Amino acid sequence: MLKGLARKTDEWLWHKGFRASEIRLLLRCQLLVSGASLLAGVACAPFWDWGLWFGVGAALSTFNFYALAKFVQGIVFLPYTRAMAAGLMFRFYGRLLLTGLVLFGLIVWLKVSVSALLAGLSTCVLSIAAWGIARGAGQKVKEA
Amino acid sequence: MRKFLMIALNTVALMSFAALAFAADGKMDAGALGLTCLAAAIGMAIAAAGCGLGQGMGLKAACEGTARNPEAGGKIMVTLILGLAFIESLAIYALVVNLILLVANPFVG
Repeated sequence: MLKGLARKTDEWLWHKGFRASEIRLLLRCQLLVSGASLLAGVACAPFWDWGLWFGVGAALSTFNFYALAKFVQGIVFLPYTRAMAAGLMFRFYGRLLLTGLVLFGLIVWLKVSVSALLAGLSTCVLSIAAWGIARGAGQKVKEA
Repeated sequence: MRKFLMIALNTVALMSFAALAFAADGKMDAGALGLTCLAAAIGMAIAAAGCGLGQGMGLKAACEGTARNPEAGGKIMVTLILGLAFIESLAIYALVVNLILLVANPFVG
């Protein structure tokens, strides 16, 4: 089931224009981790809200990574026009504004657990670091 | 430049501790609030400047690398995306810490 879900996610990312396999792999992991943690968090929310805010942080981190990857691919692959550059800039700063507003709402209005939010936001960094370590270990094995 | 940086960082550190000391009794007076706002603003400015410099340097190196060796463009792009994600997460952490300082300060009752 997990393999099927991963394959479908991979296909969806391919259709969205993510051609680099490493980025697709990382995004797939992030999407699955944030989806699973959000589902688990919603299920546990009545008696333990830490998990829910962890899931929200992970989803926010995934959204940022997705948008950043799309932005860089847009810069590299799309032919340059003024409209394209303006659209990319608008989306880039819009995403930052949205992230700031969501964080403000969560911390100030909803008063969520900041440790949960930070742990969720760190999932992206952790998955990139884990991927880098695994890749480095794989290369060393190949060289040996 | 290094001396100036050291003085600026020490000043920021002293201001942060002063705000905590003022707020230790559970209420924050106007002076402590002002210092906290100043510390948050300076902290966010430093974080934004550092992250902007880092992202700019990464982007510059990636553009140069791709221009010199276009075949390596795919690998460079992957590394660039990961580097930018790492750097941007630092700015988001700084924003969270500043929001905590300003509106959800645990040292203020």
